[in-house]
Amino acid sequence: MGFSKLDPRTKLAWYVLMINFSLIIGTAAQLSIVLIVEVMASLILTGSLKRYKAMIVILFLLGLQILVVQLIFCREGVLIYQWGILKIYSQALPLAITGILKASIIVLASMHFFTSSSPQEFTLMLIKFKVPYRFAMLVGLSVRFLPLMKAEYISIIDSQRARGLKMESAWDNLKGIFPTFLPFLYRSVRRATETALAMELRGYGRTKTRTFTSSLELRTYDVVLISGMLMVIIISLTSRILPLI
Amino acid sequence: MNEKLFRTDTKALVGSVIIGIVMLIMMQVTGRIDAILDPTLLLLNGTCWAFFTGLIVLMYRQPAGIIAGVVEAVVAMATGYSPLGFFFLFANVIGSIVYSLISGRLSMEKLSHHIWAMLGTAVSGNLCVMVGLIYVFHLDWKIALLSSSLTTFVGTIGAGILTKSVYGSLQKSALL
Repeated sequence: MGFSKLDPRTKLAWYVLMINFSLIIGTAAQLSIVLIVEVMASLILTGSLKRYKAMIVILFLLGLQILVVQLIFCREGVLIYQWGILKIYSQALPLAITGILKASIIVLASMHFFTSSSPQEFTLMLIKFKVPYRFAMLVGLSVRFLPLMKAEYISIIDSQRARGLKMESAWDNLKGIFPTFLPFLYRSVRRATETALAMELRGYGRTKTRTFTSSLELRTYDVVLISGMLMVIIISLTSRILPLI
Repeated sequence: MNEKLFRTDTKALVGSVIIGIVMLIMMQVTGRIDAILDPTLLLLNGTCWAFFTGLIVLMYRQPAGIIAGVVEAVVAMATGYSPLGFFFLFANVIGSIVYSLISGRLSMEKLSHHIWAMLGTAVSGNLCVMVGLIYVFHLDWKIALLSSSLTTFVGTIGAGILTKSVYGSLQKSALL
């Protein structure tokens, strides 16, 4: 059984569970166990980790950023090195590792949830949550328009370059934001107006409800998985809140 | 229904998604520039976020502001753009609602009105990001507060001026 075969509501429960763990767990050892479980689950359910290759690069850059921030700003533990105003404390590295593990769990869980379901499944899930279809159908619209809008922005940048706009260094890119962004914004507003008109002419929003070619049904294993995950979330939250009362 | 706060026609709903995608693309562009120029402060990124949050509310009201914010946060999470994506969800929604509530009470014809509305948005949004900085990055709360305060200050001034200018030109162009 692949991850994509599960009901989107089961994936949502998994996502909430992982976010819950990443936020409430404080030790690197426990976070490592959660991350290993997450990677194993991904490997078992999808059969490959190839799709997460790009994520490793992102997480590496992010990890570097967290490490630099902790080395500069952490003031916990004992002072182990000082060079001018730069002071490095003993807790900087453990805190950076904890931060990187938390970030990894969140990013991996997000990619699991949002890349394993089709836009139609998300729409159907929102319909099941009693969201009106006029709003639920916007998921499909955003997925359809994302690559189109990216292509449009690149074509605007190319047009401006052809007119002599320099886009080589970070400073050039900064100066190039306005000449590329404003035409992009105005074209997008015009596109939104045209798309809305086309959708209304095809009957969008004419009736309060509509039918779909497929529907979502919770299977026994979905119910078992959702119940199990909700139980774990409730127990972990209760164990955190009860000592405070 | 209060027309200054709500608008649920198709143009507003579709516009929210499309401008939400524009917001996402511009956030990624400014994020990359920030990563080179000011990796820990994200001043440009913060200004861009505040500008779009305000502009979408002015153009399409609510729930368009919330929808655009959710689109931006969800794609940020799905692409692994930032581990704070989960907190962006709250920042975008709360920031947008705050902007609506403030702009609904003002005529939004003066620059000061835009600055006030932007101040509310930037403070509430950056507060959510600050929680993310503390819980995910394990930053000391004083450092997180300093970082968020700087982003709020720059975002309020920069995005306030930009929103007035761009919204004014959009109104003149009759595109809305």
